[in-house]
Amino acid sequence: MSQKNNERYSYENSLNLFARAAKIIPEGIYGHQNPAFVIPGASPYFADRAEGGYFRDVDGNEFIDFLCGYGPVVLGHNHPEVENAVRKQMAKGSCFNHPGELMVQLAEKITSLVDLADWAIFAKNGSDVTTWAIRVAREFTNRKKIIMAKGAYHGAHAWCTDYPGGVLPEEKENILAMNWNRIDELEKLTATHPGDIAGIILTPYHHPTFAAQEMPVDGFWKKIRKICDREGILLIIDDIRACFRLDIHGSHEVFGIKPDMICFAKAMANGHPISTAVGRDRYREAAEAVFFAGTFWFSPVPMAAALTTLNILETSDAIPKMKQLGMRLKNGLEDLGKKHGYNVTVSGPSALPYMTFDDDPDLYHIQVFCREMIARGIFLHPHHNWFICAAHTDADIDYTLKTADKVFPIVARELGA
Amino acid sequence: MNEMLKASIYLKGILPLMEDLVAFDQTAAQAIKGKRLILQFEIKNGPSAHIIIRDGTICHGTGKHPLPSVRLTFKTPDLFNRMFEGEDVRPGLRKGIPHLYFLIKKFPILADRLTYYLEGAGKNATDPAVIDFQVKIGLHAMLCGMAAVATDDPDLRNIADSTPFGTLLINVLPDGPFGTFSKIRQNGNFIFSVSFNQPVKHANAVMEFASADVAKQLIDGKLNAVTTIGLGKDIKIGGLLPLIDKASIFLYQFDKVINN
Repeated sequence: MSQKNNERYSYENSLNLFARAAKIIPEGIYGHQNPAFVIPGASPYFADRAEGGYFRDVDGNEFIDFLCGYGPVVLGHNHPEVENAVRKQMAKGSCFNHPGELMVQLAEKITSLVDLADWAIFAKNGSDVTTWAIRVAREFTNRKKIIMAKGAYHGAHAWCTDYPGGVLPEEKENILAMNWNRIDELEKLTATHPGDIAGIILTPYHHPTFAAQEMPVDGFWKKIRKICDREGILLIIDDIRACFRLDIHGSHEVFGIKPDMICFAKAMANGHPISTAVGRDRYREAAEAVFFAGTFWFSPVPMAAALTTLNILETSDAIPKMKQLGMRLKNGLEDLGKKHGYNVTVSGPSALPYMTFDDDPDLYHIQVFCREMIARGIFLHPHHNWFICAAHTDADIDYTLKTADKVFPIVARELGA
Repeated sequence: MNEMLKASIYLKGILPLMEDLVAFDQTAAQAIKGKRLILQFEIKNGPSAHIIIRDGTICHGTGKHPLPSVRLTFKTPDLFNRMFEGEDVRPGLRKGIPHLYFLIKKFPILADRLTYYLEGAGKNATDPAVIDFQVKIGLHAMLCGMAAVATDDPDLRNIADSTPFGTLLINVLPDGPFGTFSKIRQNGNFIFSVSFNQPVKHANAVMEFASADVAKQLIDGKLNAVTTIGLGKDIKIGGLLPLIDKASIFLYQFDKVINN
């Protein structure tokens, strides 16, 4: 599969399929993949197949995939070694009464990779493990309250969702929120609720939707650790999104964080459904006390994918390559913005970049920019950070930048520079 | 059901429609012909609103008027809601005995006519002028109702807090009506406000209906907004999506409260 030509894409099959879906599926497509979250009417809604750094939609449009399934695809779609491991396991079976040896091997692998990990448990989605981790913190401390950052995403469960539908006020009453990078607010919360805070759950850096990503300010994580130690609070890192994309030992190594527990998911099995939470030995007893189960969580198939993916990430140049490609994209887009009279910022780690126009608080510019890039075969999300995978190439970045050079003037024509 | 929230929605979301009603409907206009009074509704420990009837027009205002001609007081929001829904409820009449005839005989006509267009036989009208009017009052109710919920629903206080500042323009193509729902800073805090068919300097987010017919289908509950937006033709959105996202939560709650 390779990216297509210079035609402007259209999406009739996606739209027709969506009309069918809307009749029998609430919202047609629900959650973060709902069309309203991207560019309604001007982006693909349904995918057909994917290979390497590309995907094809149901209209036959081909795209350079800078969303990578919202992050899980780290080595490239349909990676031969990973899929070979998956097929081998599939031939032996995928749903047993018992876990397979692969679960032990995978736990051994993860505990050997992640410095603080004395143990690991497995589930399927990020929400499974973040929700379990805060319960472990409560069990360990015998306290109720959890602090999170405003605008952070830890899943769709009642305690952390922004949406009120079906959520009781009681389910939120022990969740406190601070603004990212605001140690003073954290201090205030700990002073207001002394001896009542079980855990703080934070992402290694802030990656809200609809806004630029924010790195931690100097000394942020040291101060957080100090406060946690002083107050007896567990520090849980939600590394679901970046996962092993930035560092094979976890993003906390990049940012100098010393967590008590870490949750991983997206970039650990190259698209196969698995998540994990790891922790220090002192929390094992509390972990054992918090019942945790899911019908499909012991499936050896994603475990086979995870073991292979982690081995490849560990032994290949995939991680530095993603960093380098992302840096080229970042620098190229920022330079092109200037050339066309815009100040644009590509924020976040280079392997998970996100571009914003500096004078675009209402998002009109980024929406037109992404709409036009998508129409030319480059899938960039207007409201969510992007992902580089190891299958992307310098040629993909060249093509993306060449296309952006044509698209910036379109934005200017439509909205003014 | 939170009766106080419902009362707030009736006072701030539905009562303003009287302005549009007397401007369009002859029967309603006849009912207030020659009348000059200020009618105030008060709920004990709760919201209040008033309407000024003058020169064949009605002007709605939230809060108490300094010089009302009539003061209708309700001991509980439930009493007010039942009256608003057509039950025979006697509020306390604090002031305005001379206007008793109007209150008993004429005011219910306004309520009946509004019900006719919103829920009664008028809902299925085919006359384009009536449809345009229904779209107008439907949009007006949506905007006022969203603001009432955003301001007064205790269960959605976190949503109100996290709603971004800015103005959402809701527009019916090609010629309106249109209106805005805004979160604005005021005295170190924030308020929610609406405007209707007033010039809009800058919209931070936009929702556009392709036609009055599309807007009416949505207002009548025959169209699912989320899936229609997804289909990319009849309802278009753009700009500050978190503002639209939060506004849709308020709208959903508004609809839920008045239909339960």
